[in-house]
Amino acid sequence: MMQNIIIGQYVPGKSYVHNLDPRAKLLTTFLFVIIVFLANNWITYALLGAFTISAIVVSRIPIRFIYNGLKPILLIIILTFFLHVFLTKEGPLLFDLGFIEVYQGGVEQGVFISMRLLFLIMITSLLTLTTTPIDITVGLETLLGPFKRFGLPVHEFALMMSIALRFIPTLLEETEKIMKAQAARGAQFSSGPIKERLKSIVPLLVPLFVSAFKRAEDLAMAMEARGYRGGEGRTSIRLLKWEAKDSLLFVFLLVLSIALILLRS
Amino acid sequence: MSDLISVQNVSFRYQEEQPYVLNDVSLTVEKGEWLAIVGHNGSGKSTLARHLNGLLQPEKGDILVEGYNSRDEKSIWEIRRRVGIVFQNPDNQFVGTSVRDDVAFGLENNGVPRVEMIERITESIKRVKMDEYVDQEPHRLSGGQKQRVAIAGIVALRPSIVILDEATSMLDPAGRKEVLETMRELKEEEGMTVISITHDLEEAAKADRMIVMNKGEIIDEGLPATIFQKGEMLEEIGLDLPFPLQMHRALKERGYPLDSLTLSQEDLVDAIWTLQSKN
Repeated sequence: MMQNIIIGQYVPGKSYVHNLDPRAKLLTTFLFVIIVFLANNWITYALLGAFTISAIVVSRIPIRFIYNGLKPILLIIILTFFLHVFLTKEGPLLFDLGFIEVYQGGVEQGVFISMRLLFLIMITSLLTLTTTPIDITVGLETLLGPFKRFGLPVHEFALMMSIALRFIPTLLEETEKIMKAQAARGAQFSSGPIKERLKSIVPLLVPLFVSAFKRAEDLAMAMEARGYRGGEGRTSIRLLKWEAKDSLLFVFLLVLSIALILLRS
Repeated sequence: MSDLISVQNVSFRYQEEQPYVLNDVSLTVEKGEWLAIVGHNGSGKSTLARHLNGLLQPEKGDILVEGYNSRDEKSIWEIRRRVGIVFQNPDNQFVGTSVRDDVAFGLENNGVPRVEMIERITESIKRVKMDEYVDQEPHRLSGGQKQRVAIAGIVALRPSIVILDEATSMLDPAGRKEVLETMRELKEEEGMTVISITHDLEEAAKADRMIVMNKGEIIDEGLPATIFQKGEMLEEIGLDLPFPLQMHRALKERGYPLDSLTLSQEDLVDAIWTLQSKN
């Protein structure tokens, strides 16, 4: 049970991608998501593809993890591909099946759009695969830091995130315990019609919520006892180091963006 | 000996029109002592603990910690740095995602610079012998280990007083021993003052001084040896006497002349095997 939940799909490692500053990775991913939309011909898509594939290779993440990330949206990709193939009527006619006509433009569009989706998902899952959730949180906190001035509760969000992450395993353990306790009294979670199964979740959720609130109250008390008084005047044990390699990645991505702008038709 | 904490005629209730949870409580805590506060559920002992570091404010009376009054807004942070509390549930007081992060939490709150923070964390994790687990996540630790991390988090703040608020009641015997031994060492070596809030009289028997609470009032105070003389009084307010003491009483009822009070198992064994040699 512990493994299936996204406590991080994080795959430990020491590759170049792993060791990048989370801020650099976040910014790069953000920029990549934007520049993906610049590509509109074979050469620009090839460039994006080369970047994506080399990033995966450098990260040394086994392909099956990437594939797992893709699985949920594979259907959508295939669907968009065929929608474009059948519905876009541009360029020369390739073949005619009588009830359906396929044009070259349609095939091209289909390939482009599915590649766009593919690259997007691959790069974003690469971020979560090579960065621990807590590093992402710290990265976001520092990146969004300037927005504190405009009243954005950045520190509070980051703290909420890290507490949520810390309590995922605890609550999972508790869920298992409650499930066993209810099963011992004859509750059935895995059989019967959907309606019955949904009903059986209620005696699981109620005690779980009750205890979660109790925990929240205890935790708040413990935090206060340890001198917590909000983000002001707080220091942090986690230090992010922006190094040359992070700047290098950023420069590389800028070059890629410029190339895309110049080469797009 | 000087007074670290002085509680002066404190009364408190959670809501108006409800009975007082603390009723005119006065006590002092001296530097370097191990004070046990015992009482049954609802005796007000945990409520008292929460007053001692400013989590709760008294309705009447004052609480002074090293001269800081907990009524004063500004003093509260000074008080909280001086008085650390280890709570009952090991899971619900673990804030960080790893041992290091959790110990750091209190230091971060107090704005300690990072370099000093690292030094203090290493030192205090070593003090509680958790240095092998620095990067461990909380769900991989036992209850006793989590409580030791909680102690490290407090020790890192260099407090003068540590309150154990039923800190061992959710632990197995091994974990309980771990935690109490760690605290005892800290007290011996660093001169830390310990207030242990408990309903476990066996734990209280090892304290330097004992306070008995019932229904929000202090009903007795003194050396454990003196208080355990009044076994019936303790049983009356719903506390279980330690086994060696029960045994002692049972033997005495059957006519064995055991004189001195046996608070620990060793005492009892000694008393029994020397029984014949005395006669």
